[in-house]
Amino acid sequence: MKKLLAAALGILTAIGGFVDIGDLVTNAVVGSRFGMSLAWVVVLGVVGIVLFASMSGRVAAVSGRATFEIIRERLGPRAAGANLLASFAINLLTLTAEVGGIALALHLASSVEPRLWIPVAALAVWLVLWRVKFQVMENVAGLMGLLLVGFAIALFQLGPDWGELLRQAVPPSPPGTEHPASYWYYAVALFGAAMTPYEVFFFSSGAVEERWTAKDLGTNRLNVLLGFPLGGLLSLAIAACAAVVLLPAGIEVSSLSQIVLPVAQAGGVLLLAVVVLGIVAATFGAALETALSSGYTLAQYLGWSWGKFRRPARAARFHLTMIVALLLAAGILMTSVDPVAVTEMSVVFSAVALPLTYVPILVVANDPGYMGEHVNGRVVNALGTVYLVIVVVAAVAAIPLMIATGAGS
Amino acid sequence: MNVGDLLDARVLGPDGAALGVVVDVRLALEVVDEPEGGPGAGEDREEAGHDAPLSAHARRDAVGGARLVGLLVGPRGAGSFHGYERTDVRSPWPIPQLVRRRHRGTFLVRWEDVASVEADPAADPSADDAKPRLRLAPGYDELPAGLG
Repeated sequence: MKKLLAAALGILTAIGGFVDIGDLVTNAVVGSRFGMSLAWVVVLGVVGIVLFASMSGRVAAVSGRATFEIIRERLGPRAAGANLLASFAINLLTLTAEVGGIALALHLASSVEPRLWIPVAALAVWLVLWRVKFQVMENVAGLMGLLLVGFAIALFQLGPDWGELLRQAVPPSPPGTEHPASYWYYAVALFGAAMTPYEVFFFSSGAVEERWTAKDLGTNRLNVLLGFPLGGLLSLAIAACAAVVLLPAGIEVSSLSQIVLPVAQAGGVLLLAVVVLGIVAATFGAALETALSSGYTLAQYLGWSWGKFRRPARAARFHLTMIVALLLAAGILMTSVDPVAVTEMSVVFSAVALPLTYVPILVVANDPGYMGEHVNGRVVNALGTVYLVIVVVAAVAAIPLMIATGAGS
Repeated sequence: MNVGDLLDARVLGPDGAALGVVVDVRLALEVVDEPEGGPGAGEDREEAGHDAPLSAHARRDAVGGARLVGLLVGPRGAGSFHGYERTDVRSPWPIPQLVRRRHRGTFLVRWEDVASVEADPAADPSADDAKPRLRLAPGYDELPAGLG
């Protein structure tokens, strides 16, 4: 049990980063429009995030430095500042979407208007950031988020034609009704959602919060190998549920209630309640993760003291950053903007910012002055270079695809 | 003067020929002998180490004051070395190869060889961040930029 709890950082990172509101929405939209034909992107994204999260965790454990400290050091003030602007904006958009997601999920559970839930959700997130210990936070949010396994249960209860799902996935065969540009737009969005930079900001800073040293490299490996593939499987289950129920019915996902439709159909009220609770936990975990990441990135760039292991008075600017970010997110949501639309934007912009985050990690993981004997091996470097190419292609293609397809519509 | 004032400043030879711009400043750190484990060893971060920098908890040499050794001058003003000046590491391909290629011709001059730091007549004097112009002394040495 202790060993499993040691993987909580990875599970929270993965649940919060991988099946946050962005992935819930993107996977369900993709499932309802393209079936399982984009499943390969989820697999590609899982391998990529496992590769780079484990690298950032290893760098943090061995050198004591979190990812944005490394970005600032290696890229210099200008390029790192550009990355900060982009990452901070994405973080804020994602935080907005997550707080909105909590409100929408609570709305599903209570039928109280989502706008009334927004201040409650933001306040609850802030209270946890202010008061709750890092370890307690990650254990509770991570384990509750596991309730999303309800999507997988629903899939089995739906008794789909597994052969048909597999045929859609390998070789990938997008439905003829969709334009290829839309297909590739969603491929980039899914890839961006899987590899969002805030996952490594949070994971590496969490490693520092948990005081990992070179002795904890086994825990690091366990975390990423357990957490992210689990997140990937849940993503695939969500997409498959949508592909089985929504695709044949011609329903296009535009709200959270449609995402859980297959669950209600398969498992009734009880399973629905479990999944809604899981969504609340996952979006809550992701809101914590993105709020913390906004504090981590700004504080690490500017050299402020940071971390939940310090009392708030000892890391005042770090906590103030998170408060301002939460207030901004709640303010944006109160304008009645659709959180689902905000999410779809944020994952595409993530794809643009990927290279500026992943290149410095790869460079430092090769620096013997920092890593000693724990520098990257050949296989990891070869994979890293392959992913660098993929990440750059996705970053370059993201905006043109967004414009060409009218954001996938 | 801040380091930021020197970075990107134009560098001229003793005869007035343009050599490039300042891309970095090289400092030597005095290494201080510390008891086993370095500063803060054995301290609990929660208890005593609240205000200690995180680097104090990493296993690293303790350092004392810094001394200015010289300036790195790049003919094309090629930005950061990304740490590749310290070692001869060649991975991950192709990043170090690209960084080194951009930095071909970058050299180190001793701070003693800098004859003057004056206002650059080519710069707009009203601009806040107007860079100075550096002139090197006759007989200056172009030292290798690497540390590895």
